[in-house]
Amino acid sequence: MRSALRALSACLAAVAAAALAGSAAAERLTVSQYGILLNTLPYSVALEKGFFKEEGLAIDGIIASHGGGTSVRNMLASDLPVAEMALPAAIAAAKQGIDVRIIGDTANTIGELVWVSKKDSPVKTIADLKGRKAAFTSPRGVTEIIIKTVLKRHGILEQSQTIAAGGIGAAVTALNQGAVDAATLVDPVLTKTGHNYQIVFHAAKELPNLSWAMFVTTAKYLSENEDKVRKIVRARAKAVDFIYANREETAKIYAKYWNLSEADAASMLPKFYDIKFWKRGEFNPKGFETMLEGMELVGELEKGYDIKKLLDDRFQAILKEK
Amino acid sequence: MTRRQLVVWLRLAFLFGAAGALEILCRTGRIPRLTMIPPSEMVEHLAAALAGGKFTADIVFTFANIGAAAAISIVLGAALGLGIHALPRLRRVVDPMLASYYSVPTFVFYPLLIVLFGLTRWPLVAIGALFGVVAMILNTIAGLDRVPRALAKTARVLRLGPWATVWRIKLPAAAPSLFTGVKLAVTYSVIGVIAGEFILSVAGLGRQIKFAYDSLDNGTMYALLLFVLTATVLVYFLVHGWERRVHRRWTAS
Repeated sequence: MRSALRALSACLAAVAAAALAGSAAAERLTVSQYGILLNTLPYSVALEKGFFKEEGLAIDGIIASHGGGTSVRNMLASDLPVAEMALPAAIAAAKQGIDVRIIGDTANTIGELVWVSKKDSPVKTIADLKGRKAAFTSPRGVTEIIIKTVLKRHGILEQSQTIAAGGIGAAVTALNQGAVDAATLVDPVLTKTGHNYQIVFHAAKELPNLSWAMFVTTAKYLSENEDKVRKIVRARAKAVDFIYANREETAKIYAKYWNLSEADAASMLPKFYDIKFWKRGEFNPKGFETMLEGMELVGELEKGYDIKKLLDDRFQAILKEK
Repeated sequence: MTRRQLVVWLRLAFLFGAAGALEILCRTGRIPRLTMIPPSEMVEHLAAALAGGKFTADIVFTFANIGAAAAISIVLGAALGLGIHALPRLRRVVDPMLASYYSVPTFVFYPLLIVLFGLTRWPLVAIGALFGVVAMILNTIAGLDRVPRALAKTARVLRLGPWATVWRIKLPAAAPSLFTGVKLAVTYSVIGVIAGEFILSVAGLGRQIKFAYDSLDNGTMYALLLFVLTATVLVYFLVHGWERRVHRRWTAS
């Protein structure tokens, strides 16, 4: 019995030591919806091509999160409080007194986010949503902002109902169960299962200028580690340049990190190049304007919110679009 | 002061002491606001939310589901426990499965339940019942195992039929274990329903807590957590009080 206990104690100690040793050396970035939404592809490219290592950084992985407050909490709990998250999450954090700083605007549009209805549904256009229900993911998140802004611009916001499903998978489940008439969908699920649905509208076409994904850190961390943050920003920018310059290899990396076949990956990516989806990080004032308008609409923000107090433009020279 | 009164006072002292310590840690910033708000603010937010009626529909939804799940767990669990106890060969087959049941992550079945029952309350009731039923089965079997043989002989002497024996002799004799099973079934039903609402739900306190967490709305989140905690403890003490009354009545007779 005693020898068994000794052996067990030794094993537990070894496991604990290994875990601590591993965590002491490496760092991880927090990225909302990593491995789900395609705006996070640059991080996979940076990891695969060693751009973080080239900059002398010990980043060897990404902490994925569902977005919103989870991303903020993950970022603050991490040893490396640098993250990519949605703009509403960053502003919500700032309003809670967290000293967030936005250092980059990482996507030109909302990408391939669409709202779909079932194949046999009478809901085929935005106008058909009048008197019907459309699902978005989280309350006061990007998808609620988009659906309400689009419905408002088409004059049917008051006559339609929008429902928070809780996530993209949950929204599709709600659609399949008939609980809603339209739900949000993105790639790769869109390409894999899109033939089961009909597209009601493309978010990027309705809102071509939308600043929604932000590269964020805290003011304290930035002031104490400006050089390190610069290196992270540079590594990501290199990854974005790589994506545009190396389509075939990017498709392979996409397939590897998203668990897709290379054929599927290669077929999904072209539309993202067409809309120049990924950004190095240059701020887009018009994009901020659209997003802030949407946030006022969903009650997340008071009128006239000054986003400039959150923006830190010290890296904008590195992040200028090529 | 009786021993029981002393225990009650000690319990209250511990509770208020812990709350007081948390209050000091939160107010002095040792626990950051993003992590936790002071208990007094939780109470304030809860009072405001209840007075405003903002979460009434969610409260009704969640507790109706918990009630249904607990009822199914208790009735089905007791019935299955009785059946398994009466059939020793069946008991030998299912014993290892029952013993290891709680090592299975039951929540993996939740998406399947949604496919089966739709995006309604029934997957939540089902997951709550699945979580609670085995606790009731195990405690029913344990209780029936402890029924003195003399009582079973007495039932035979009195020529009681099988159902009369179960209803008048075995279940009352197994009452202490049955009540433990009921308390566990209720607790597990709460866990199952609330956790299911975190994953996916059309309404409910779990859903609201998740949204509040995602929105960094600690006021709402902790208010609802406090409500769930308080309500669950109240239900537990109600069942416990009922158990004590039943026990007093039976020992007196």
